[in-house]
Amino acid sequence: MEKAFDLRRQADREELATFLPSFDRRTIDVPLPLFVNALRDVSDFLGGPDWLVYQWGVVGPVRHGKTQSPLELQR
Amino acid sequence: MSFSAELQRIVELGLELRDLSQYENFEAVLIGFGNLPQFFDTLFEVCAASLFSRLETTERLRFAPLYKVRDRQKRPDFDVHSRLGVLSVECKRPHSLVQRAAETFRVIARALHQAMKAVDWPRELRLGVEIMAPLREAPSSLAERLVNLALAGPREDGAEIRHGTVRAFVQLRKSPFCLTDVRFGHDVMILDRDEATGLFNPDFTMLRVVNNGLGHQVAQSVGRRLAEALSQLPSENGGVIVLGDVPRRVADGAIARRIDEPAYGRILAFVVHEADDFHFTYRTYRPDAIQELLGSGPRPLVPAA
Repeated sequence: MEKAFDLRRQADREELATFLPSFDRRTIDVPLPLFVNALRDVSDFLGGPDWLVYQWGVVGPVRHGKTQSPLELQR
Repeated sequence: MSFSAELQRIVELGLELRDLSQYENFEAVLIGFGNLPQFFDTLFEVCAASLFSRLETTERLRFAPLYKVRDRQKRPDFDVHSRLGVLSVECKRPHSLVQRAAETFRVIARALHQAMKAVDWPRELRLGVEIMAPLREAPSSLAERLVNLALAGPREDGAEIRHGTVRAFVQLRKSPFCLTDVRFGHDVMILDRDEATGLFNPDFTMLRVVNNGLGHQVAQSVGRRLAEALSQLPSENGGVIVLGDVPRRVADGAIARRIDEPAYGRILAFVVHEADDFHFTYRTYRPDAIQELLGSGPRPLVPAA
C-alpha cells in the first residue's frame, strides 16, 4: 500500500484493520479487535516509536547507526 | 543501518507482549527494544519467551533474573518456573557481522542480475558465480566487470573466468549446473521471469550465485554464541539455549559437536528456531524432562474463534 499508516494512532490502526485479512498480498488471519489491540499494545509497550508505520508492505524502517548518506542534507 | 519488519510479526509481537506483561521484571524486556542494535535480538527473545509461557506446564516466567556465576553477576534472558523446577533460558542469534555478510550476498546477487539485464544477457547462456572469500570491490562494479568478462570470453560451454575472489562459469542453458554444492541460504538462483519451473531447473535459470565463504562464518559465529550462552547460564538450574536466524543444518551441526561435552552437561535442551517453528534437541539421558515440559505443545498465540 502506498498510504502510510501511523500505527501509533488509533484511527490509523482501525483504518488498516479494514483491509483484514489481506495486506499487500499477505494474509493475516486474526480477528479485527485482536488485530487493532495488538498494534495498540506494541505502540504502548514500546513507547510509541517513530518507526511504527506501515507502508509498502512492511513496518519500519527501524534505523540505527550511520544511516545518513553524505549527499543528504543534515538532519 | 535500517531494517523493516513484517506486519504479521508486529501483530504477533503485540499479542506476545500483552501475554508476557504479567510476568516478573517484564520491564527488562522493553529496555532491549529501546536499544536499536539489540532490537531484533529482543524481538527473538520475546518470541522464545512466548513459546515457553504458552506451555501448559509453565507456572510463571521471570525476565533477566540475577545470578552469580563464578563470582560474576549474570542475567540469563528468562527463567521458566514449571512443575519440573526452574529452567534458565538464553537466546542467541548470529553476530551482526554474519547477518551483514548474508545481506551483502543478496546485494551481490542483485547487482549481478542488474548487470546481466543491462547488457541484454543472451537467452541461451547461464552464468554461475562462486564467491570464495570477501569481495575487494563494490558489488555493482564487480558485477559489471564480471558480466563483461563473461560476454567477451570464449562462448564454449563451461568456460571459467576468475576475477579477484570470485570465479564464474558461462554455460549453455541445457547443460547441468557446474556449481553443485547446494546449501540453503548460501545459494541463489535467478530465473528469467516469474514462472513455475520447479527447483534446480538449469534451463530456466539465467544466474546462480553461491557463497562458499558464508557457511564457515555462520558456523563459527554459532559456536561462539553457544559458548556465550553457556557462560550466561547459572549452574543451579537446568539450562536451555535457543538459537535463532541460523540455518538448521548449521545449528544442528554445532549442537551435535557439543551435546555430549561435559561443559554443556547442565544444558537440558538446545532449541533452533526456523521457519516459525522451534525444534528441540535434547540429551538422550533426560528426554523425559523436556517431553514433560513440552506436554501437548504450546497453546496457540491467537485464540481459536
